[in-house]
Amino acid sequence: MARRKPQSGEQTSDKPRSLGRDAMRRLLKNRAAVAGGAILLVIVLAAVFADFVAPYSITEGNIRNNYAGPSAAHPLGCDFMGRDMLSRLIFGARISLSAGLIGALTAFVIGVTFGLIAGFFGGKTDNIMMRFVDIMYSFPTLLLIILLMVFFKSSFSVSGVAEGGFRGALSNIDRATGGMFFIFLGIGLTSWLGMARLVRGMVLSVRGKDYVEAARAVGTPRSQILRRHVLPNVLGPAIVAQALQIPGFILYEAFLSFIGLGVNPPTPSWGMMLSEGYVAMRSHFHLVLWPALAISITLFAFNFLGDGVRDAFDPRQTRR
Amino acid sequence: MDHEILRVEKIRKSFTKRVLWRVEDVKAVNDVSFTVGKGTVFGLVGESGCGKTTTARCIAGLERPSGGEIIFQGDAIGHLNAKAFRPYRRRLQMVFQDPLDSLNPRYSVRSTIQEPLDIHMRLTRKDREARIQDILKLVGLRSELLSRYPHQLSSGQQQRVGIARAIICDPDLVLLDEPTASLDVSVRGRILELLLDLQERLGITYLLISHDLGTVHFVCYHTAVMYLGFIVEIGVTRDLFKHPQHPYTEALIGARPRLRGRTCGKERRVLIKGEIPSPMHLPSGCLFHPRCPQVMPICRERRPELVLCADDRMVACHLYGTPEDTRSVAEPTAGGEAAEA
Repeated sequence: MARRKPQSGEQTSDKPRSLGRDAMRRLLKNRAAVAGGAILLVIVLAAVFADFVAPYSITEGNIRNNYAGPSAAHPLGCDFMGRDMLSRLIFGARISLSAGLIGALTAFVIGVTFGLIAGFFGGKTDNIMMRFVDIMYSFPTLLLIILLMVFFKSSFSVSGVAEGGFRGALSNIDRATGGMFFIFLGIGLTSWLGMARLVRGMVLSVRGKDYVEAARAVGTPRSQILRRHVLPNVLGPAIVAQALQIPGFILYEAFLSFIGLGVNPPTPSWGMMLSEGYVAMRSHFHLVLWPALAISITLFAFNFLGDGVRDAFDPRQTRR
Repeated sequence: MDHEILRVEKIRKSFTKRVLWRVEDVKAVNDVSFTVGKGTVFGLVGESGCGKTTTARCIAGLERPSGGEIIFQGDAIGHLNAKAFRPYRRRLQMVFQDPLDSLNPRYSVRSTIQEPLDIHMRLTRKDREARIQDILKLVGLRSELLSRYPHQLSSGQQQRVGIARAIICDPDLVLLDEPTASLDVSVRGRILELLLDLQERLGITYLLISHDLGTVHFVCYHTAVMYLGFIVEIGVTRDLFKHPQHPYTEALIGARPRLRGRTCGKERRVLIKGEIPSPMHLPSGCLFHPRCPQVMPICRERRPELVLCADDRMVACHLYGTPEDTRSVAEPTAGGEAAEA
């Protein structure tokens, strides 16, 4: 990527460029970020169109292919039930990516709302809200997720017997989503704290800026100041910060599935594939190799892209 | 100067500061009174941290004064809540010091200028467009700049946008908070000219806050000198600069850098010693006494009030009037008298 591609909304220099466009231009100059983005694009496309891309079924295997190594028919080999590894990997991308994205989105929405309210209203509201965050922060995140899983998860309820009430309803949703619901819930409920703190801090700094004062002096209503002056100036860095957390969420999902608290068995996820494969790791290394590689490459790609986006939005690069 | 547009009556503003368990008051503005006549330029000068900006923020409704009253076009606006204040905002605008900082980086020039219009005036799209074009012409910006963002403008253009935002709703009074302080000298002159030109054309009144005595001398008809949140002297700018009465004014004017080495008139350079006292622990008596070259015993005990000492001139100093006279002359309307004379 020595030369920038002239597509993707690039403009001639005398035309106005918004901050976002400027950032885009800087991002495209960053090779590592572009490479990361390209890899991610491939993974995302594969995940979205998994039904068409994956060559075999992910649930039905052929017993003769148990533990089969790579071959022409199954380029990545088959797992302990004779299911095609490549197909499971592709469908696994769907689970892993959505755990990362939906987890990030949930945490983002809760965190931004919380931080915005605390920072903008200030005073006692701020104090109470942030002390709550402090208390939540003192719980180990992973422990909280595990507790949540153990308490609610369908696979731990009395087998087959439908439970009534709230817990039963949640279990049903969980079962319907192949065990993903609680991963989203767990990540979302525990990971918004950092976002809330970050957003609150940024709101405090933006609120002291002259343009907010100027908007007040003009007579802009409070809600409009919050919506059009504070929020847009907080959102950019918040999105970047949250994007940097996505690989962490993917890792959470993999970890939870690995220890058996994540998705339910027939559903493939990279963590699940690892946990199914590690028993036979000594004799059939490829069972662990592919999911581990998939996780690593995805995380690398995310981190490169995230760093690139952060650098592109770096406020120090804008003229002051 | 027939009508007053703004009368500030003994406004006070203090901020509480918590140091561990102690609560201390920072007195930023103390009993400041003055009157601004319609269609004039009133200057407010003083060192950094003397309460000029806080005074302006109180008037603009960005800060609620701790005491006193602000009368704008006959209405008391000092203690209104946000909603009740809104109708006055159209007629009372402010231009900020740092032009880039006062523009939302995610607002194009058009959005910035248009926001006050949308809030205060219901115009058809055509009228609004015409209004925006008119204002651009008035402040000397090309209409291609409408779609630009603040970081793509020069600082002079940025300040012109700030001015456009302030005048688009046809205000009667504009508070200029050091509008030229962060601009290059070459741009500064042109922005000042623009401001004066706008005043002439639109009949706006300005309250100019500055620490730049040259600007104030050039632009303002009346000037008030502030020190530690108090007004120490008010008068017609030309006379004030020629014959400063208060020792602080004298020192301030003497300290101004000059291009030519000559000193004109009776002006002499008075060096004041020491630092500005902390606004948390104001000195007893006259605030200036620890640094005053002409300090008298009474200065340490009694705080001098603002008294009429000459035609159109008020001074808060024991050199010009004993405390006995003070009570008869400097009653609440003191500021008004000075300005009306």
